[in-house]
Amino acid sequence: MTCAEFQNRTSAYLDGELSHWTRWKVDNHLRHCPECADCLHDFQDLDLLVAESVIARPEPAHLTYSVITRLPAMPPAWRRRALRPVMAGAALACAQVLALGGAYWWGFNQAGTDGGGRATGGAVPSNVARGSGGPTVPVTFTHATRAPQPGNTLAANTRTVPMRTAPVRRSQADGAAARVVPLWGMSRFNGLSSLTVPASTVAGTSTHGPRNDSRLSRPARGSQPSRGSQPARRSQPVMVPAGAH
Amino acid sequence: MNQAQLDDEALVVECLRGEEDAFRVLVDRYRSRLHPLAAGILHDSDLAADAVQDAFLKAYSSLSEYRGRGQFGAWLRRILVNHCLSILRQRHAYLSLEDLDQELICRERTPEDHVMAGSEADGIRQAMGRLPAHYRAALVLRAVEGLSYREISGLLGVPESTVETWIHRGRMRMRQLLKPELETAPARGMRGAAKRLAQAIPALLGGGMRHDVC
Repeated sequence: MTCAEFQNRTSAYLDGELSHWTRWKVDNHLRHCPECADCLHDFQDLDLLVAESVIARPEPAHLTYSVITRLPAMPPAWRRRALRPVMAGAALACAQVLALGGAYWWGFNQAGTDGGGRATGGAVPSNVARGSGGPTVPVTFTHATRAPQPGNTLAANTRTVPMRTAPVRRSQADGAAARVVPLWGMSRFNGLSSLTVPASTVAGTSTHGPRNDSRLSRPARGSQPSRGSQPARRSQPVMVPAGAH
Repeated sequence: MNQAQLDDEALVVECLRGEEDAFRVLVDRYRSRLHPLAAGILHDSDLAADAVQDAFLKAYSSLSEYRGRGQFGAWLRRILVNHCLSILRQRHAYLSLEDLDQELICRERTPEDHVMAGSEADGIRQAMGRLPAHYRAALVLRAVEGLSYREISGLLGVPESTVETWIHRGRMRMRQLLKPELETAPARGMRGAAKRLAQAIPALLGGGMRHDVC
């Protein structure tokens, strides 16, 4: 640092606003620079002179009187204190009304737009499905808690609900008659093992390209895989409910 | 218990209950401290008296907003400094940070300067009047109130580095203005005058200044 730079920090040094390191450097400089040391002493004296000149100003004697005579009327304290809980309660009530109204409005709109929602009372046509977008087809869920019906997945223990088109795989047993979509995860945990989609409805709606039936087909768990068939990596079509395993 | 023995918070509670005498005690307690501060910033005694009066009235109107978070004196000082700054802005005497390069100097002599002409403090007061208003405000808050740069930056609304610059430039300007005048007169050098005033200031302050935290 040059002498001018040290001199610029003299005020901060005098006011104790420097870091320890910078203060140590200024200390060392002041020991060897009489000009900066003289500046520091002048600043010390100036502060005293400024304080004297400011404090020595005559104070008007009528100041207190002029303030007291101009005091505005202050509202009673009890009124302010009483208004605080009332205002807080009113604000809380308004917030609750807004929240309830918004929730009711949102629910009403949801009921009007959702085909399987409360507005229709559950009376959904089995061959019509509505969704947010994309092609939809009627599909049949197979309930896993019921006893399996050999050779017939569309037995009495099934129910038909509309559902958006999912990637479907052709069943080995039904061939082109229907496609069975396996259900995994929470759906399987809830008792639904697979769903069957009529082939005529599904044709042309799958998002996947043409598939090799031999690759997609795999026997149910516990049986021996047929020679030449490639086991799929994950979910395979099953014709029997999960409860039969 | 005498009202003068009550602390500020107790007096504020009494004021909120409608006791005007409690506020009278507060005015008497702080007027001698606030008026020099306003006079130092505004460089006009009459204008400073009006500013102090307005600050007290504003404080009384907003007493319910004072929640005892800091010292009452510091709260009053903040109100007064803000009011003084607004007065300076109205008079176009306060420069913002962007206008720092321009130096607007109050060169007119106030009636008080004429009255005090010839006294020892006349040269000092005139020199302060020649400082830009923001230099003078920062220097008074440091030299008279003893505030730190952080507190001054909070009051003036500028960074601490700016406060350091303002104070340093104000001191340098005062040094340039006062040094020839005081050192030419025999036995009236800055050092001698400062030593004499160092003994007189504690008596003027009435026991020392309180450095409240803003």
